[in-house]
Amino acid sequence: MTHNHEADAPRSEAEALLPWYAAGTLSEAERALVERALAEDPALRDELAVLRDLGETVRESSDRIAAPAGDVDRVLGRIELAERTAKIEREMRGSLMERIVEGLRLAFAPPMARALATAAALAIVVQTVVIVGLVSDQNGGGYQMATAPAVEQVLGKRLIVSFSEAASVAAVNDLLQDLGARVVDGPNADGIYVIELTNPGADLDAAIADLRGRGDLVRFVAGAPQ
Amino acid sequence: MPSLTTDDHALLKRVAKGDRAAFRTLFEAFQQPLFRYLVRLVRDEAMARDLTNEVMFEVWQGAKRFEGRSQVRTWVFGIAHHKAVDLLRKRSELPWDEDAAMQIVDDAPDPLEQTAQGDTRRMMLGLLERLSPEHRAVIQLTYYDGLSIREIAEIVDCPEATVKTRMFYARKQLKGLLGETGVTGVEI
Repeated sequence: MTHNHEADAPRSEAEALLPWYAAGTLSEAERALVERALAEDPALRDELAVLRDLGETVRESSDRIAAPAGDVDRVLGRIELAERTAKIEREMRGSLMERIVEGLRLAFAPPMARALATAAALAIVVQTVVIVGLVSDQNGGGYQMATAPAVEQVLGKRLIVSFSEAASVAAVNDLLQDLGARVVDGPNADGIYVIELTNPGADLDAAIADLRGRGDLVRFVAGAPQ
Repeated sequence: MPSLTTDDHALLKRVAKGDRAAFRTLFEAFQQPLFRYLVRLVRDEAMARDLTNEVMFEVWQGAKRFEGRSQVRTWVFGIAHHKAVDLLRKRSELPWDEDAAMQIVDDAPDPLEQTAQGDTRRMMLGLLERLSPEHRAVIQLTYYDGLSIREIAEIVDCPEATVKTRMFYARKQLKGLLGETGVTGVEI
């Protein structure tokens, strides 16, 4: 007895497509192929019932998993920091290039002016290395996952804050004092400050909630990568 | 999968221009399905949370480079899949070799212990957990995220035939595992 492989091909293809038939994501032609096979094959219909049950199991179990709230602010905070760092680095590079060009121009000047230019260029290089190093350190040398303990030890609990234009210095100072926080950096060109909670046991989420509750003074607040 | 009703392409264009409100909307649309997909893959909620945030940060950075040749959803899930796979490889949970991946059965708890007092669905879930990450990915993307074979192939970066093969082996593994638990005659 010879086996009819050609007759098996549509059945085999229908069987391969069955999970996506159960999920309802096949094209019209594929769906028609599966339905023809199903009409002729009770075993395939049984298989479909089990696959639908499997799909239901996957959906039910996944629906029980809930993503944590508030992470969008964490990521936005990280974006703020990354952009700020990139901006500082760009400015430093631009400034350095201008000084180097000026230095090269002066290299063709009389000896006394050349010596002064060389000293100035060296000072700029040293300053750049120090500042970029500080910025890099401040950000933990790149983003660290929330579970990384080393960064927390270095940074403490920090937030990124932007105050409203109407906020007076005195009102901001009072707010920070009430919160138990101090400014550790800023403002940048966009008016963003980095503040640090001075009490090691302070609750970061509660501080963010407090600041959000002061819409009269605070325009934006987010947790910095900890 | 919860449907993403927003016009994703338009939203991503706004994100590419630095629109933080658009990013917030995109984040809120994708966070839940991404997180659930990543939990299924890495089986660790803390890790899945970090990965989700990493993926969305990369979406922000890469929005300008998105050329619109694929759907935003498959692009974002593709980033997530590759990050999860890299992480699992670092943890040595994922073999580099496709043939080896077909044979692997994960070391999740024995579903028999989990289902002593449970029902068939709980047992099925326990068995799912024992499949390899690549098999779990195809099953999750098919049944929960409601994606077509072509979309899954884009996400996991393999030919469509490989997606079907992975599903075939996943079903075969499940059938074998069901047999081990004493349940026979079930076609998956």
